Amino acid sequence: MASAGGTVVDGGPQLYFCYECNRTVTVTPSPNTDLLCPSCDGGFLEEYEDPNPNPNPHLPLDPFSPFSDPLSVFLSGFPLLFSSSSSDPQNPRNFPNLFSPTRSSYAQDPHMFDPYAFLQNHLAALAAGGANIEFVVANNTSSEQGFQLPANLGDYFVGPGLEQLIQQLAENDPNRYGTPPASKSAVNALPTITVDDGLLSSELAQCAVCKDDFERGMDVKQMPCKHVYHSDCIVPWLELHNSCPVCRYELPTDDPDYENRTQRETGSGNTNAVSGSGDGGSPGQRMVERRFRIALPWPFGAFGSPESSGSGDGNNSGNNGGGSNPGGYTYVEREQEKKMLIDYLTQCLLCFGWRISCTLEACIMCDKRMFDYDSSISEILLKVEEWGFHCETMDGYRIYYNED
Amino acid sequence: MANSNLPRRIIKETQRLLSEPAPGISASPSEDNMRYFNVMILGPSQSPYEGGVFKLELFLPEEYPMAAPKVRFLTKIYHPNIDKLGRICLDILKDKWSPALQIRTVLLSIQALLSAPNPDDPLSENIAKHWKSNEAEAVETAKEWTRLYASGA
Repeated sequence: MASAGGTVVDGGPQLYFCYECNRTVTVTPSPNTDLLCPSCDGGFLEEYEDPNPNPNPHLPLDPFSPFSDPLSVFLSGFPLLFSSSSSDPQNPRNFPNLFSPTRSSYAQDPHMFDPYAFLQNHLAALAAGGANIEFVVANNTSSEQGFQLPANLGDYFVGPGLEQLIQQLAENDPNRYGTPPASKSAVNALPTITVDDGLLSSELAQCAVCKDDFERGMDVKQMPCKHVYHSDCIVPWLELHNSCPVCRYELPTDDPDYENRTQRETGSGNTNAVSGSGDGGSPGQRMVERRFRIALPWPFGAFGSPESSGSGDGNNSGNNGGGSNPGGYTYVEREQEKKMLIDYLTQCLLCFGWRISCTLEACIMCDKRMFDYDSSISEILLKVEEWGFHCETMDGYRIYYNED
Repeated sequence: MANSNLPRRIIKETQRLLSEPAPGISASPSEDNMRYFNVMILGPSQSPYEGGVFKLELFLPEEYPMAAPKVRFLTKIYHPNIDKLGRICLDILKDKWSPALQIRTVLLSIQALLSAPNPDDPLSENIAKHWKSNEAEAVETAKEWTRLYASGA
């Protein structure tokens, strides 16, 4: 039954795995009601199937089956670009072969929302509307010979890889929030002034970044807003964000999207350039190119790359997940898995117009809050479905929105 | 180790936090990791959190001060901008972070957030709804939670 995309045929009782109770339960599915766990009333159920008797009776054979192909399902048909030299960027079409066939237990029940079908459809709709979607997997350390895809790319998203992904996307990137970097030329053009008594007797006598007092005769950088900093203090900041630490005065950036957006905002205020929502209005006159780049950490370091990676340039790719067994799963506790899945899905949704706001996901257009760790997966995805289509403008983290 | 390379700024901030603590706020670094602080904030007077002692954890990431500290409530609190994991919805911890800010200013902002819950920018949707639909009752719940979980016992 797992691979068939059909419907639930008969009304007999079936085994489901309840992610709330962490065990299998027997439910008689009915076409008119939602599937609910008989013991906890939760809706986070997965059809349980045991084609081969599992040595571990507490786990279904493939504990991650509804989610085991998070990318492959909705990526098929979209180019997956590997920035690694070891991949073959000329021939991205190779990659879909590496994904295992589409399967999703959600698809078996027409009453359950199928996240991957939804994501795939939404991506397809975006593409049809002129979106150019790239998934970039950055390879920082792995060597050429070590290039080896796991049998199923989805495997990457359980175990240490998933944690890495979430960490990179959600937490660990200081660039994630705030304004883009200042343009190099603007930084280079900042005047250097020499600290004199006048400055020392003013309120600017201390560097606001390192909190050290300036000394007479010292060279400091001056922002157009007149705030001054040690060069070593302000330049690293401006390489991340274009704003003055004290007053938020913004230097120009090299980010055309950001510049356009700020111009638009100060101008006519028409920020929503896409006439979204499938009322079939807009194709034609103005082709809007929307380009998405989603940077994923290099997934394959942990999978059987002969340790030639070396070079230890301090990135967080691979190898820090501890004892990863090559090509295999690292078992993740179910509760944790659910949490990660929520994170993961919300991360994916970034490219569809959602972003993290205040650590809770909200759409920048409608500002609706979506998720809570209490929500069941299907609840979340229904909300996505409900709100997803009127949130067409991109913003934020590693998502570029071009309008030509 | 983690502490051997502690930037001067962090050392200065720590010294000042210990020698001149802000009113109602204490923050002390952990012994084995000088980037990890145990924080206590007293519930501001005339707020539903008055009388409560709220524990938080604060961590200065490697990038600090180029990136914001990570702060989280450890004490359960009923507040529309704080979720049940203790995560805080505060702009200066996200996109409005600036390296001119520091631990002290962050903690003062959090203290101010306790005095001025903002249900229009919620992190906890349910609490925010409650706050908007029946503020008096929500405030009562917040007081109740303060008694239950933040009594400092």
